Amino acid sequence: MKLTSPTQLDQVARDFRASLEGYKTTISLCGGTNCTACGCNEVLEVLKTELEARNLTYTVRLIVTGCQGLCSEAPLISINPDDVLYCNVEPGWIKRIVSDTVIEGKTIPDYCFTDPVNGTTYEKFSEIPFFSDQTRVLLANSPHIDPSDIRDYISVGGYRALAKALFEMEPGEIVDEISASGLRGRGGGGFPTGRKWASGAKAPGDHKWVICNADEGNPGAYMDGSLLESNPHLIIEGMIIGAKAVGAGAPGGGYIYVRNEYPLALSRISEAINEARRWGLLGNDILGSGLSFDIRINRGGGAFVCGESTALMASLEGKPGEPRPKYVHTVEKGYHNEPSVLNNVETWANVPGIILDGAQKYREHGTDASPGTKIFSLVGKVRHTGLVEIPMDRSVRSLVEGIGGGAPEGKKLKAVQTGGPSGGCLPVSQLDLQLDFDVLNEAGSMMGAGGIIVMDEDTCMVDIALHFIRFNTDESCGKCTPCREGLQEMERVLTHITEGKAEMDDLGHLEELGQWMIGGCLCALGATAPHPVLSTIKYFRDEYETHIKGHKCPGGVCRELIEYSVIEANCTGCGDCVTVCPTGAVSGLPDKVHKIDMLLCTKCDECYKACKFEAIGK
Amino acid sequence: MADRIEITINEWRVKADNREPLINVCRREGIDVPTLCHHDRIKPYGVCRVCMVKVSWGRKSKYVTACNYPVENDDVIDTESRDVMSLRKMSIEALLGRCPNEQEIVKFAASHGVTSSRFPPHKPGGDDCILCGLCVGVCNEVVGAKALGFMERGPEREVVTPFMEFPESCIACGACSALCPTTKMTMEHQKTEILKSRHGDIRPCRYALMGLYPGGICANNYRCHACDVDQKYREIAGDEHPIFIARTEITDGGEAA
Ligand SMILES: Cc1cc2nc3c(=O)[nH]c(=O)nc-3n(C[C@H](O)[C@H](O)[C@H](O)COP(=O)(O)O)c2cc1C
Ligand code: SF4
Ligand code: SF4
Ligand code: SF4
Ligand code: SF4
Ligand code: FES
Ligand code: FES
Repeated sequence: MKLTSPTQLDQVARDFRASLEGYKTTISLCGGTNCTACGCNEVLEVLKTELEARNLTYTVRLIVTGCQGLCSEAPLISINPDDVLYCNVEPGWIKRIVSDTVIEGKTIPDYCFTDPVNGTTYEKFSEIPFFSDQTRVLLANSPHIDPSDIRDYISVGGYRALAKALFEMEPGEIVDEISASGLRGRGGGGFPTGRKWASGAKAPGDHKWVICNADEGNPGAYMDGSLLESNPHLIIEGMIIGAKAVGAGAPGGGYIYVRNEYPLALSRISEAINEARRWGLLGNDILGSGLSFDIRINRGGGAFVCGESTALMASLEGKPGEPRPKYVHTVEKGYHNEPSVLNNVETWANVPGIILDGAQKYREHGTDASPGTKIFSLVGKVRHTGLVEIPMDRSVRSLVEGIGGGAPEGKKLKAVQTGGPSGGCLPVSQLDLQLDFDVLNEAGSMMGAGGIIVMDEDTCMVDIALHFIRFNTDESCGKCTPCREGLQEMERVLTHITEGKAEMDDLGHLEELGQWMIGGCLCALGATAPHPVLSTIKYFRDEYETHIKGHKCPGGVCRELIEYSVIEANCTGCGDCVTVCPTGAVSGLPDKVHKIDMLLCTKCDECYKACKFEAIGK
Repeated sequence: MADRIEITINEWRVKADNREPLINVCRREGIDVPTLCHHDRIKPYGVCRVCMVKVSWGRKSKYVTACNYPVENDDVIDTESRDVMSLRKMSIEALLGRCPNEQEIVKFAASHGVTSSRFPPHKPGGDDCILCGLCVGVCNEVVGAKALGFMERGPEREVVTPFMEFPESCIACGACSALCPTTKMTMEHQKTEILKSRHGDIRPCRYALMGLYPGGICANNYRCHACDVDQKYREIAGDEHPIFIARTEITDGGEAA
């Protein structure tokens, strides 16, 4: 059915809510990428069979949602209104869950989330600190709605912002509201969205485009994929509002450029677009407003650099995904040289909320210059990993030590890398910095897409810098001299440092290379790639010096610089190391202190891992 | 008529057309800015980064490449400060390190004060291509033969012919090798050899104009200007095509290629 007025939209919401009244319980099974990988489909089959067998299909609503946010405990099931979350669910648990929780209303503590640190078990979903410490605005609906049913989204207020934008606002007013909100692009640069839209609206031409950047190539980051999976209509609604604001209605249109490795996000968003068309929310004369606008999907070119705005547009045109100089902005001449407003998935997801509740309300979260909430993906040496949405005035510490629970296994925290492969590494002394765009830039790092990688004391900062430089070398398009040659040179020098073959002058050379790349590269990939090197030299200079002058790797990571030895005081002579050593380098009599022959040792690290008494030193 | 604007270059006020490429303004005003990947007849590719200059607006400033930066009113441009020079020199040093045995590059570097490089070559003896893209640009945009392109990315990037085979579409015009600042581009020589082997010496040639036969009459007594192949080529490429200019220079010099 095609909706032809906002009243009909309200009617759909009311009807849908009424249709749910018969249900006493809602079971939301997470069908996100991680939970799917961890076997949620089997759980689903068993659950369906069980509900049917017990004749519960009319009183229990079963939905498959997108990522619910605690991927480290996949697969997840949440049950409402009981406010229960079960983790690491196995098909064998279903009978008990249905009989105890669904029928009798009793929570099963064994299946609930237990904090690995203090052993506390949380029987209420909303009390788990990982969630209760967050401010979930964009992700608020993700655990509760069925992304494949547009009516579910409409029933929680979806497309109301669109109705407001279409019937109560002029394009200029929409742009003004977005400008007033201070919304900044979430794709990395933090460019003011209102300013971009204003330029897009002003740019001459009848063919204009709004484009959603869902290329998300940052390793370890998956906030955009997660939003598309769990709440695709939020993005679609944002884009239609944007289309009205900048004048990208037909004959212009919309594109979503989705990373090719995101099959689930791709199928969810395609399905959602089809649904929206069927309900008259995309296509001709949307909601009877006269605006015609449609969105097409394009699969990404498969390279990290395709996420860069000019490369993305080249790729959309079917050309190689390489950046071009940006002296003429893409809002003026982008896709096919026509005005194109490109925003990140998360940026678009912010739009409906701002339009519906106003810029003032939006600014209640975050700082003056970085208002609103930001989704971070927290990974690395931290107890709780996952997607975290918090306002941008929170500190790095509250994210990593608070919500993330700090480093696991009693290890000490050493550094936090923000901003993905081209971000900087902040030392523990900088953890009280706010997670906002400008503060992070000033500290020599950046917000990037919101990837946060936590590192503990076993990390070697030179090795980390080398790792990120290698990533960028592989992803560089190779077009411009500073990026192509600079990255290869940095890789060479850093490798020398990790092998103890470098000299102190090499540090100055690295810094010079960094400044050259920042100033001289054609696109932001090369211009930001030196950050990991420059920030580690800035904050961990002593570690570089120890490698170069002392020929030692304090983190015990750089193979060439490690010497294994037995710490006599700790060795019990258990012989575990002898068993695992592949070259027979370790020897010793039972119950006597063992020793390692460095001539035979291949530095495989097996003895170090095998020793239960911390008696192997490196 | 484009709008006339005023900009400042190294403290001189100069007039320019709005959004005119900065390099044109610099050339007109006699301000030296080196370039390696730029040619007037080819769309700016902007990759060698040796033409770096600084633009400021009030307290804000940015490094840009002169070859493709469109000037705007009141831009304040600096082409010779230390930071600009060091960006440029590093790009030159990097390219010299990549191609230490390419004489044109060695000469170019030396003329900008770079005589040694900290960047070791990536392969023994050095590379023979600085990836400036002039060959690809001229072949695709000016000649229209589309016989060249880029393949791979990052360190592996290189200039190749379609499917790595010798391209049928190459018309042996020699534009690519005329513009190539290194010794890599020798497409027309190879094509010439292929044509010779296929047709023998009696084939009325399309490459006579390339300087093999001074005076424009080839070994078969064809008057090259009337040769249909060359006529066609002139149609595609136009009289001002760099290769015609290059050829004229070669033939006037009377040297056999
Ligand atoms: C190498 C590189 C990769 C990028 N990848 C992405 C990406 O995956 N997703 C994204 O939204 N923006 C990415 N960007 C940023 C885009 O160029 C662009 O700034 C952004 O999509 C604009 O949207 P925003 O203003 O909403 O942030 C990338 C930039 C660079 C330089
Ligand atoms: S900075 Fe790197 S990725 Fe960007 S255009 Fe230059 S070579 Fe390509
Ligand atoms: S495993 Fe550890 S404690 Fe056991 S013999 Fe080897 S060094 Fe000693
Ligand atoms: S000689 Fe061949 S490859 Fe070179 S520019 Fe002419 S047509 Fe292109
Ligand atoms: S072959 Fe010559 S013209 Fe072509 S990219 Fe390499 S250096 Fe430039
Ligand atoms: S995929 Fe299920 S919680 Fe993230
Ligand atoms: S001449 Fe400007 S970048 Fe090469």
